[in-house]
Amino acid sequence: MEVVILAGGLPSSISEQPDGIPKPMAEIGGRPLLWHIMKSFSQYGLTDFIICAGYRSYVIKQYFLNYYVYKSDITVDLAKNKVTVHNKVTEPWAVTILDTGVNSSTAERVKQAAPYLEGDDFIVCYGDCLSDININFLIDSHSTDGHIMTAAVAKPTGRNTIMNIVQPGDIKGSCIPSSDIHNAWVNACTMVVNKRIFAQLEDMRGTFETDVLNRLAQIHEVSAFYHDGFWCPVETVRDRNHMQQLWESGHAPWKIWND
Amino acid sequence: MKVVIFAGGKGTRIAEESVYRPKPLIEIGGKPILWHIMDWYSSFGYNEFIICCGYKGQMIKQYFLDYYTKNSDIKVDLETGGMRILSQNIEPWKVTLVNTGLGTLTSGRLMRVRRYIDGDTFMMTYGDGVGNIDIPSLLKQYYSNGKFATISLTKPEGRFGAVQISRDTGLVECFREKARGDQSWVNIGFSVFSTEIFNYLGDGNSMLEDKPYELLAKDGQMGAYFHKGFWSPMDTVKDKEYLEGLWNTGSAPWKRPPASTKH
Repeated sequence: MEVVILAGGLPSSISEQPDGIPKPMAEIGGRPLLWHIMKSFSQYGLTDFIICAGYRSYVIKQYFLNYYVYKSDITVDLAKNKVTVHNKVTEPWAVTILDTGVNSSTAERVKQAAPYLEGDDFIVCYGDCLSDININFLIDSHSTDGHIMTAAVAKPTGRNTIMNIVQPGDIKGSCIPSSDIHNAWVNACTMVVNKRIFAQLEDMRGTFETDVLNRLAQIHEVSAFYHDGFWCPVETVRDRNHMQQLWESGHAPWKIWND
Repeated sequence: MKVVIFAGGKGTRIAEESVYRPKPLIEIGGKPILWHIMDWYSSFGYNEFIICCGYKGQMIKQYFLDYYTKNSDIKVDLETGGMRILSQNIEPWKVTLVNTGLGTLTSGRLMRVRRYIDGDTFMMTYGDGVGNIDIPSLLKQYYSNGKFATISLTKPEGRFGAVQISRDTGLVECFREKARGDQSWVNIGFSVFSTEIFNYLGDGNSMLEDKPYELLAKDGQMGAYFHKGFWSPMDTVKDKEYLEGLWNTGSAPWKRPPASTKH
């Protein structure tokens, strides 16, 4: 089963580079966000990735083209332009990188991945979101429900507090989202999708997570997979720094692998 | 003889620059400080380098991977993707780039490059300091000391200009810009080690300059080379601007003398 990663969006405020890098290339613990996402999928045996790149796609291409040498010790003979790799340190991943356009919508990006999908089902996830969603359970749930899409949903996260308002002008208090809200669920950036979706995407220009999902909902072809654990979009420098702290603490929830 | 250069630290004091790139890639006159250091060694015929990478190490790798094409005249056939080198004038350097970890301390970094050191003597310096250290005379000192380690020491320029005031009149007689001699001797890298040093690194969880140097000194195995010429670290943006200014004069002290051209 392939994992399609949406990594084409414009950079947000997360980028410290003056000229901007694609958001999925923002680093946590010295490695791009994208690597963290792929590493956790690989723990479930999913090692075929299709990266839908767009904005500065060459940065992503270059990273994977040189992955082998980045991770290994090398000697460069400058005058002969000869590179010797001393110790092989790499990952058994197959990574397809598609240039899906700078201004394409997420639905249009997924559409472009179609020719590279082999099985009936595939995963779609966002290149700027970390979680510890149990992918095996998500896939099982998808097989059981038999709908076109099974979307992981989670409690809202982030810095916003939810205000308990009885009537305008009367705030009863506030709470952090995860503790006390029972009915609000948000898309947790990870979906299992059947190829039948492409029939629905034909005339679709919108975003995958809203327009496509709504259309599938209308025809009762989307089910939810409730995820109670960790998930977090990494959109701002603040998010990134928080993830960096988790990483340095040695208790990053998405790090389900051993070094 | 191999030259080990520490290039893995984060360089927090020059954060304005090192957010974008590792400190050794911060440029003076359009070339990374790391290049300047290597070119200095190269001017004495030392062309084999081992770079201890850490923070943003892949940028350092990329720099050397791209070096050949960046510094040659090339012709690219876009249709076939083929490239022809029209002329090249590339340094005869062999650069080994080793991942020595993100937060590893210097003795740990040294341990991790041991396998790339051949012979029983090697040199070491830091990737953030330039100077006109006389390498042959440093080596001579090392061999005549016969100790496991010889490190270069200097008295850095003072931070403040000194003022001489007349006792009689109370008037200022002269200024001395950034006086030397009001400082103590400091370790500036540009060191020579015997591979015996690897017996002093313990488990690699300390700064080389702490426990290992202390133990070497205790064993009477630590020699000193007093460098009286130019040396400057690049710790702050102010240092960078100072070095940039010197480079732009065309006669920066650490600049390879014109007589010693590339091979």
